[in-house]
Amino acid sequence: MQGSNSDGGISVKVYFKELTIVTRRSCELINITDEVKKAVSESGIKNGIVLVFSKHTTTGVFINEAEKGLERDIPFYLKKLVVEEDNFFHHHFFYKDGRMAVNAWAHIRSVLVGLHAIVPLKDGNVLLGGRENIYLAEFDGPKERHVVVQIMGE
Amino acid sequence: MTIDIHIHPLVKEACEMEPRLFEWQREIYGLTTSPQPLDTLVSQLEEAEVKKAILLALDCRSRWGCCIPSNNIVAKIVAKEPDLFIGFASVDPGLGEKAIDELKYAIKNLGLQGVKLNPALQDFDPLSPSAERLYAEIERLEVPLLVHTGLVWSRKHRIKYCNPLVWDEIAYNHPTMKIILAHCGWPWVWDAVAVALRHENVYLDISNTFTGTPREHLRHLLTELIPSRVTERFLGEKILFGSDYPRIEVPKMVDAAKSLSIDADVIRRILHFNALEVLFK
Repeated sequence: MQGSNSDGGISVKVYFKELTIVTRRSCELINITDEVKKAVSESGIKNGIVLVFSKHTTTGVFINEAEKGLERDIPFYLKKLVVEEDNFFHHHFFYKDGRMAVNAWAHIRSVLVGLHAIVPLKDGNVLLGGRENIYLAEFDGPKERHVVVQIMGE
Repeated sequence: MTIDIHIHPLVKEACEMEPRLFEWQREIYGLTTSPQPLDTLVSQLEEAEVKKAILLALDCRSRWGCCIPSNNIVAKIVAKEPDLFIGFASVDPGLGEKAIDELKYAIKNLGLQGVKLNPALQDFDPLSPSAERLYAEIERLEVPLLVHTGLVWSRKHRIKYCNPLVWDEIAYNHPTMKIILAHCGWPWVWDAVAVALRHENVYLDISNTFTGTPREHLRHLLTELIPSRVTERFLGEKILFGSDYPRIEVPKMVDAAKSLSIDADVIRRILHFNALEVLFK
């Protein structure tokens, strides 16, 4: 998709891609940096911004170092921060779903982490720092998840 | 090792085999969440260390004109993971003799190894003559019967046929038919317990989580509503583990069962050995 301002001087392209990711564990971190870079490459856009957005309220999207220890520490401390054994108001039968809601802790962890990341794009390169990677955090898997990558620029 | 005797295989692959299945799941079964790929169910079972999972058909044709899902679909999904899955057939008592023929076909030709009935969704009286004829055939085929008892949340169905006490009469008339009363008959739990205590051939499953999270519900069910001493001393060989996926995730239910403050041997029986007795002896 392509657009311009009223003067016709700036041309902005928007590229959209939805990633499908099947998670394997109830709680896990999945490094999606390569998939995001691939979408950027497919877009043909060289300069602008990249939005990575999860469509699920029991997941998170964040940027951090790709290191095995941290990949264990981050879920561990989120679990310590938001314990599963508590008296959550959310835990009741949902007629609209037809099932019991039992995952308030996953929603709260999602709020803490956030559902999106924005990264600058310059000369065709995603401007991540040397240690920065983009992660999808699964807080209530295993499930099929959908992450939107939207690239805006020229 | 754990055996999960209560899984509804409402997965993406089943919906691909029957394009209207998701619509029936929403409208009749009353679950609106999107079907997940079979892979995610298998991952749940792996995470929960479940080694055998019973997949249930549900035939509602005479009342609602659909199966959720059909015996054929269950058989096809079992074939994808034959070491992990066991299929239970469902036939509709409202279909009369046709139901008997379909039951024989499902057991003998499709390789299904038990029967699932739901008097609310199938809208039949468990004490009706047509149901009675079906029990006689189930008994002849020597396969277990898993029957829904207790609450149905969906307002589309009636629960007057779901009181577990009616199964006293059926168990009395069919002493060699193994009957599993699903959900411990919640909220008529003591009625279900009474029937299970009276009959050697009656068992209880603890699937679903009616009163809160899995931990809250199973703690309530097996240590408070039924006191721990009764669970341990009277029901240790009667209770079978089931999750009721996809209404609840399997690992959460297994975790809840393992966390119960009751005798460890009784927990092992619930998770594994009691199901072995019912399914394979």
